[in-house]
Amino acid sequence: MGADLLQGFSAMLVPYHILLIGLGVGLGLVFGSVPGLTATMAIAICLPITFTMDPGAGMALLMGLYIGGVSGGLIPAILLKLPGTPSSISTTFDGYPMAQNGEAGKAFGYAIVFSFLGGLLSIAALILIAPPLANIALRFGPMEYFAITMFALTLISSLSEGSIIKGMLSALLGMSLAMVGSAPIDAYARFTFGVDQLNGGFNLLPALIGLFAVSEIIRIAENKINPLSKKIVVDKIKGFGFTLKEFFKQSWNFLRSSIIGISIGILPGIGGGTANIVAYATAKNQSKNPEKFGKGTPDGVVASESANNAAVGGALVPLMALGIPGDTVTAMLIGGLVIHGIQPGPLFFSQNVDIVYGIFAALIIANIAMIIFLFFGMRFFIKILSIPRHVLLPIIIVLCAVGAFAENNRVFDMGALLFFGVLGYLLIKMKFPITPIILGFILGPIAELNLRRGLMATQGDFLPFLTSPIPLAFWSIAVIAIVLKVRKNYKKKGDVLYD
Amino acid sequence: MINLFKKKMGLFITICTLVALLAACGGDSTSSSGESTSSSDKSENKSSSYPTKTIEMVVPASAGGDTDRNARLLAQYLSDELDVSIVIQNVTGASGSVGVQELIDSNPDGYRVLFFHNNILINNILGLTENNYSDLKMAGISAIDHGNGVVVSRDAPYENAKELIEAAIENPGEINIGTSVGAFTHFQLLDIQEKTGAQFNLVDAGDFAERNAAILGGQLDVIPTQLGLVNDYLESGDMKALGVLAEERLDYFAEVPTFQELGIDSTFEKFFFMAFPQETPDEIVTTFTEAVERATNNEEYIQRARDYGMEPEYKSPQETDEIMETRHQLYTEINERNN
Amino acid sequence: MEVIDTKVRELISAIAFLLFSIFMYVSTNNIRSMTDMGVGPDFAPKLVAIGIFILSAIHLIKVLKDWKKPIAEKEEVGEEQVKRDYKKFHIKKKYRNAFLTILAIALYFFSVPILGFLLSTIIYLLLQMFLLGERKYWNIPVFLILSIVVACSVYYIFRLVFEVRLPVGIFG
Repeated sequence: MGADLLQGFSAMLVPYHILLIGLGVGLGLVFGSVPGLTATMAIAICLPITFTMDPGAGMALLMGLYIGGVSGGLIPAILLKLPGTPSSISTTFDGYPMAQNGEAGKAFGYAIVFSFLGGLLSIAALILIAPPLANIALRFGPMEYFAITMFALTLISSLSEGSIIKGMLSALLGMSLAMVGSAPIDAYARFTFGVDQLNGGFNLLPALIGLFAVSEIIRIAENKINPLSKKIVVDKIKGFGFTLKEFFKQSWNFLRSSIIGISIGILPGIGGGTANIVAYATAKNQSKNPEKFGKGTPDGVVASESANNAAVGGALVPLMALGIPGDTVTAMLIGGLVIHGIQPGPLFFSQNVDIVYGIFAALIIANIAMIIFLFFGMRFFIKILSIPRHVLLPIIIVLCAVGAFAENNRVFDMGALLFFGVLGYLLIKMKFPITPIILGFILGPIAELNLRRGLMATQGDFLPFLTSPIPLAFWSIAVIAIVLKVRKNYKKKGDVLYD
Repeated sequence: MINLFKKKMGLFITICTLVALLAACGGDSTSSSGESTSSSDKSENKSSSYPTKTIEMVVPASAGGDTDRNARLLAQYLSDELDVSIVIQNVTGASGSVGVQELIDSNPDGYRVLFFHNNILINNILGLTENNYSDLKMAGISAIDHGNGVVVSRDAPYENAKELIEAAIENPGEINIGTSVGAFTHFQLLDIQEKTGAQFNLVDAGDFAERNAAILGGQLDVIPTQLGLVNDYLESGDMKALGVLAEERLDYFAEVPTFQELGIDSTFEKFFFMAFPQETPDEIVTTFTEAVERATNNEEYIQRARDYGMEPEYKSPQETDEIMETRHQLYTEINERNN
Repeated sequence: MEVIDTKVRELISAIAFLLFSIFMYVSTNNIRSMTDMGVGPDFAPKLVAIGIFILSAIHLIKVLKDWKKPIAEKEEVGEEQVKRDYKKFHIKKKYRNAFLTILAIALYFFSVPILGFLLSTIIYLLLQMFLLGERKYWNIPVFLILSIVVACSVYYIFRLVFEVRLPVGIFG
């Protein structure tokens, strides 16, 4: 294996491949960081270009794009409170407050280093134990999926500040919005009210950037902006902005979050968008000072960023070991391989040793390129904070609109973007948390689909959903978490209605 | 103060240009986009009026599946024939009917073409959508996949489709068979059940990748699938093919018996067709379909399509219309008998 | 903000969710089903609608129960009338500003298919910059140049590099 990896590196460490990886990472960072553009889009656009290259070169470019695309999201998340991708939603929770407190450099330092380490750990897992991990993932049938989505949804209780009821209402609202369009399994339209364009439902991207970016911009628009009124102090950064002691304080948080990232990344269909939120919620629950979360603690940034980069390696596990894509990006990677006559599947590892280890080497090099780019770029990105916001925000709206349009080439999706923007604004005004909506939006359809599939397999029997071993474990943890949370809240002063 | 503002503006514009430059590099270093623009310039100088600019191919399926793969493969050779670049647009949703509707609503100028398969008929028959093949102008078939097979996992006690059917008759409703309700494979199963009297427990298991995962993970006993999509698993021995719903044995899966040989008279084929909006001028369709015919005769294309377990087979627009009509009737009957 | 606002706000949101859940439940009756295996496509929507109904009902009851209770920490302590009036005026203005931005975005999206991406983006960017910035800081030449540069570069980068064709509208 060591020799194969060395071989992989020697194939990748030629100027042409390194250039492609660098280009991929750079372009991926741009796509990841611009709200509205995603890693998926970057890969979709570059995929046809790789058809003309040899497989190694093509994979070099695609891996660079993947790593860059997932990592780029941290930039707008920290600076502007806008998640560039679903993977960086929870980076905004603490990264943005840190930047507002004048610690933008420190937030970047943590985010970049732990993105790198999270990515590296998951690549190591991919190289060393992909086949057994993939076999575990295969054991996840409909009942297991249903249980795990429900488990992830109960985590909202620890995410919603104040009222649990409002958090749950938000999650249910997200689920209902995801139900618009064709139903899972039968594909008959639901809640479209005769509007044909709703048949396909709302896409995740307009929902995400509408709820997080557009709503925030409308809220900022309430007050005219005086570019001189509020100066954000930017800290002087030395190295990555934190000490060795502070670094080691994060070890357990990092390890736990990365493992969460890898595990969720492996499960086909759930992916990085969920991983970062779950890791963040877990970090908060286990923290000695959970009250610091959301106010600018590095722990939150570390949890989110280790998890989302770790999900990359995770998503590649079923792809490399079994030929089963873990998310939209890996589905397209399959397309990229297949066009070169390589079918990922059980024989992929043994028959294409050079390509497999080439991919591993490309991933590691891409990770290194990512940390270098971001390290030198961060001084530069921070300057975005000094662009007057009344100039910057309109441009962001335009980019969001383009992103919403480009995904499916429909002007209709721009309308959806505005709808989610206004909805998000109203909910912020009503003091409802936004994150549970997006979690409900992502997980609701997965839960419903697997509930129905599972019931088809059990011929209508609900019992196995509770009693099978893996679901039982998830349900137990979920119930314990809820009970603890409710007890803690009632000890304080009941469910907090007003904040 | 103004100076300060200008400085920041300068910085911002620098960022913009940098982004632009970086993006432009992405295009240049890879040479394909550069070439395609110059080739479209070339054709503009030619006398013929169509095509002069990039053609968009709407694929109502997600990237990575067999429809997308076939579209991309064909687009590559077709763009050489037409001398313009062809870009694939994946428009997914509602079993593909969203993409079909997109195309029906497009300008009938020949610069947007649909690439899809049998599901256009099924979506209509099941009432998922009002649109139908008759709302489109057919531009020919580029490939037909005869490899619609039935596959089980390595440990399954059946050696061929006949044994499977017998087991299903003995234990009605006990064998879990993966399907995607409302998809082409679902109709195959309904037809087999009806013709043999076997009764399976039909379980929805999503697209081909999800079905593969489910059978490898033991959640399902049997799946219907295109053999070309599970080639690797068959080779590694993780899966076994029990039979294929074709009229003759396939060249590349010669050891797999046909259902007909086993006494079950059920054949299906998955065809991939192209179509324009109804009002598209005939000359444009003719130019396009002739290019498709040339592309499907390209040796390299044929070889690569076969590598996917597909038979490149060109059918003219008229033949495509006939195929559509007969299949529409066949699927309608299957659906009516099962309701 | 003010005390009354908080209670009214909670009341409105509870009632809105309650009505939404009833509407949603009623709408599920129009859902068609293809397969009778397991549960149908109306099962989960019904469940979610019921969930929203129960939660928002609890929320409503809580709000009404606490209606008379003063909220201690947010109590307004004998402020002068002038200040309160100013605050009211200010809130009105805030909602007006937010509404204008929503309107601007809506007009923008509406005009993209008609005027094309380039023209509508330039107009929108200008409009939105005026809406967001305080009048003192309007720098019209910079706004104008920036709008044109941004619109053009986005349009052409997408068209030429990414092969995404943004709408050209009636002038295309």
